[in-house]
Amino acid sequence: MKAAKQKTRLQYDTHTEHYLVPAALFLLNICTVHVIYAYANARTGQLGWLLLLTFAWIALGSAVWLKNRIYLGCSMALYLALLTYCWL
Amino acid sequence: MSKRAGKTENKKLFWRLHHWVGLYTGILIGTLSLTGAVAVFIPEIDGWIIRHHYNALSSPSPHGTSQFGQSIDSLIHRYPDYNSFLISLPDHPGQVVQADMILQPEGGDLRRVDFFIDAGKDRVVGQRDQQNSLANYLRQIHVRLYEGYWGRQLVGIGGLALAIVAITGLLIYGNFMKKQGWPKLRKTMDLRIIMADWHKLLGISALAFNIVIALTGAWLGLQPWLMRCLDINTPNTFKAPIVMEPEADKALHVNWDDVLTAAKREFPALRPRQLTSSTNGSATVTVRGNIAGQIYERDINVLVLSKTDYRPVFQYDVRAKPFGHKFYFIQEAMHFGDFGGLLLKALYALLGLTSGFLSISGFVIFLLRRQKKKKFSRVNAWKKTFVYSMTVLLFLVVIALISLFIGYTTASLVAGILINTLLIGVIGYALFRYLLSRFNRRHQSIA
Repeated sequence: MKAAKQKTRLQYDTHTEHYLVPAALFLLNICTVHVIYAYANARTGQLGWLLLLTFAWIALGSAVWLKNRIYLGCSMALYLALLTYCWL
Repeated sequence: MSKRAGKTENKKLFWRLHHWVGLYTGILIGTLSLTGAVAVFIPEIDGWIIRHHYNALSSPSPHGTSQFGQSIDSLIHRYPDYNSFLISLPDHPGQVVQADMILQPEGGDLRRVDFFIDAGKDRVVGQRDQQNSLANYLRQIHVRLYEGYWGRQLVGIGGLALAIVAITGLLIYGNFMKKQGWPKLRKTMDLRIIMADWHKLLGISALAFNIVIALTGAWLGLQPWLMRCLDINTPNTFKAPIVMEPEADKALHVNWDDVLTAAKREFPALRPRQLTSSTNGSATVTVRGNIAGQIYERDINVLVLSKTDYRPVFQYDVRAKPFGHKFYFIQEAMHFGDFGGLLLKALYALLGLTSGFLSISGFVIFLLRRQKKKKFSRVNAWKKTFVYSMTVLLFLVVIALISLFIGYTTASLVAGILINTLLIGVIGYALFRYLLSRFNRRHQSIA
């Protein structure tokens, strides 16, 4: 039982380290460029959008640091949603 | 073959690709990384040189707009045999207006000269040979390594190689990390492990950036070939019909204030940056510029006006164009990062340098791993890396000095000889090693 639990934890960690963290770092690269672009070209009335982008950037950065599976997933989903919204 | 064995085979293939592509193109990737990190600041560096080296500044304009009409007229009068000219408007107050003229003196070679115009007093305050300028060196060394025949394509291949090593690096990342977490660096005195840890850490941290730089760089480098092969035309090209003799077209006077007023009226979102007057008989004036907040190549929005009444003949607004046009014009902006101010450029330079570090660290890891098999000292690995890095720096400095103090043509000739000799050497060496290994394998099987 104990061995099985340990195995699950190990698999869980491997999944986070080998897949979720690289994916989050990938999005963090894009998000960093996106945030700088948004601030450099900000117009009046875009404060809400800027705050949302900054929040997504902080969420992604802290998720990579904390490496919590759910937090990583949520922060990636949030930024992907914002990125999709930009293209629509 | 089982599923697991298939996966292992794939990983081996990715590792081999990462290893060999990185080894043979590392020096090219490293050079492009260094030149690219400087190239993102070309407008700032050039602006600084014009201001401080040529002492060319603009005084405040009494009308609030750039004044340059009289200076252009005097230049046309002084050089009646000019081929064409392009007026670049300043981005910031205090900067000069630049008139880039292509001159062909009787019996002489084509010359490209930049004239600096004080936009407040409307007078020429300086000039330089455009081809021998530092800005031109920085651009040409990154875009084509100063090699005129296939330098640009070679750079494109470098971009493709970076894309391959970045993607294969991602695919083998898990295998190499094993139980090591990001961003953990192992505590050891073994230099190979230290370099390997930094290689993995920086490689995965700047992966998306490097993939974007690599793919856009591959496209920009291979663009002439790809456009010819795939029959792609530049989307904003416009050929105005010829309505008069070229000499009559050249003689038509242009009121640049009226041109800018017409541009504001016909295309309000356009921020004009470049102006040209036709010399081929089409009797047109072309205004090129940017639209605020757009991530596209500079100066791709176009307004062509008639020289006689300043009515629009053609307009290209990238915002209203289909996805294909936008995708075509986003490449250069994504590659050079000139859409988010100085901070974004600084980030581009910093992240761009990671690919240079990755080529050096990858090469050190390769040499240190090889020293286990063959008997040469650790000092040799570092010495080799140092010699290669210094040779690249020496090449860049020598070409820069030749270009600035002797001329672009000589620099291009020297760079061409060096690069092509190196290219033939590398290909010959790779071919020799391949044939030797095949011969040895055959010899062993017979024995």
